[in-house]
Amino acid sequence: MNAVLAFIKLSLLEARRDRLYLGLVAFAFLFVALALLLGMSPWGHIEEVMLHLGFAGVSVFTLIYAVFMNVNNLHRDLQSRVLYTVFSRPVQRWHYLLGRFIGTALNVIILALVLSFIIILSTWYFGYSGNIRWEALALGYRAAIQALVSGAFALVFATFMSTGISIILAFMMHFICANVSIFNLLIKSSKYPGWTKVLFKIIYYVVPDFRYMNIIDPVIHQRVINWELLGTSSIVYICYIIVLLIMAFAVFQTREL
Amino acid sequence: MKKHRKCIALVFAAFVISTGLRIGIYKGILSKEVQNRLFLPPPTPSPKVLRFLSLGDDGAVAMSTWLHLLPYLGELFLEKKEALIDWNFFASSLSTVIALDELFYDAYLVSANLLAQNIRYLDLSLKLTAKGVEVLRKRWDLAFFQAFNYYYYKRDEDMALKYYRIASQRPRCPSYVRDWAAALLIKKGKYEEAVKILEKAIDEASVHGPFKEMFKVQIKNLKNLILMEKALDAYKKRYGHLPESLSELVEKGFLAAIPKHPTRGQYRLDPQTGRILY
Repeated sequence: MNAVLAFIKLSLLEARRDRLYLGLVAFAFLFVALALLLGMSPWGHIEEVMLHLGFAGVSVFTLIYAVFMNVNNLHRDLQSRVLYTVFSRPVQRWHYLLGRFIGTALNVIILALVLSFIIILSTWYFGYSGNIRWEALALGYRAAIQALVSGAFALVFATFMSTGISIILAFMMHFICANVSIFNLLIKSSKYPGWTKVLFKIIYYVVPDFRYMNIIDPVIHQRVINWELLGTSSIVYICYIIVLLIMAFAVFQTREL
Repeated sequence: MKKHRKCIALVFAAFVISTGLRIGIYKGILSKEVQNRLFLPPPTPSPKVLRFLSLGDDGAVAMSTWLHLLPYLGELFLEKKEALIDWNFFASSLSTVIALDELFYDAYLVSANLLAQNIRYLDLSLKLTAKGVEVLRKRWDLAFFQAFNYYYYKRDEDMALKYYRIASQRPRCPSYVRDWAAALLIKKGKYEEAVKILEKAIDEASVHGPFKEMFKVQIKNLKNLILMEKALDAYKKRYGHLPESLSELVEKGFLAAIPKHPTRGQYRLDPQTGRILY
């Protein structure tokens, strides 16, 4: 357990020192600031613009951050041969992956939380309702947990593929997860032969559906939020993360360093 | 520096061309057709494509499309260049915004007010606003605009009535909408429903002063009409034809007395149409 904790600390420390991660964070802040500025333009809809574009920025940057950090950490440690030293000690390979993943997850959660607070407080200060929209934290949470699922996919790919391919595949997986419902339409379509339909069916049932956590419109338009849906989808995503991590452990265990 | 010379020259040329075109547009040097072509923002992709690319943040894409459309319309309206509006772009952007974020109130409002003005896009406007009426159940104004568009542009009184009914049942609906709804119901001969709408309006605290008095007069008139209509129906059922005058209803015992209109005095019967005039 101490080994896992050490890797978590290392990930947190690296996030503060690495220029790539700091650059990403700076871009995320810049994007959110632009969204907030756009909200203050004289076109009205201050709160809606700030929340919609601000949280879109949170979604995009937490995703990029999670994918890059999961892939980059592992490959950099492999290339710099740090892992040889690490695994010469009584440390399991899964300790390393788990520690790195949790460290990345904490970074992603902190980033999403800070950006969410900035957006919510700006909305309260510049908005017309005068209320602090705490429920919008759910959007930050949504962005973070979906980024973590994609991050877990990235980690699985990174255990046996090159950096570039892993990143591209992880983004593709996120793209598929965000559009899984299309596969349901393809299954119903008569254009495709039987075997492709089987493939579509497998993808439809196996891949997590990011649109299931549909809370953006209710939060932004101040409708009733389905907290139960948020809870159940969170459980589903956490299960996916666990399964993906187990897959990553299994692949990394058999890999030659 | 030599390497970058070509780049700098290209950027400079692009700047000069775009500024020249802009000046050409504002000074009216370019023809209307060329202006229209140049002034137009790039076309909006279909909602299906945008939904696919949005990665679940459909609302953010809808908002960006809206922020893309709004300055375009604003600039044209402010400079009184409405004739230059590319209605196809306007309609497709609006449809995209509504398809991506069905709770986007302002898009429905613009659809009901601006898009309906172009006869070619009236049906699209009615379709989009109908969705807004269905989704935004706390808003009375969308149903009101929809009713107005059906009545004024489409000349469809039945649909207008449908939406006036909806508008009059929505919260915070102002008195004049109820009045219009009642007027259309009276025109259609649906007096009892008109009475219900007006009575509901009187019960609400928002109706005051002259409106309250006007509604009371209208209700009394409608109740008289309902009474006489029933008597006329009974007369027609027994004798197979309409009476010559309303006094015949009293003579044959269908009415105790002919009621008086609260402000205009006597009612009269048009024996040709069977309508009661006042």
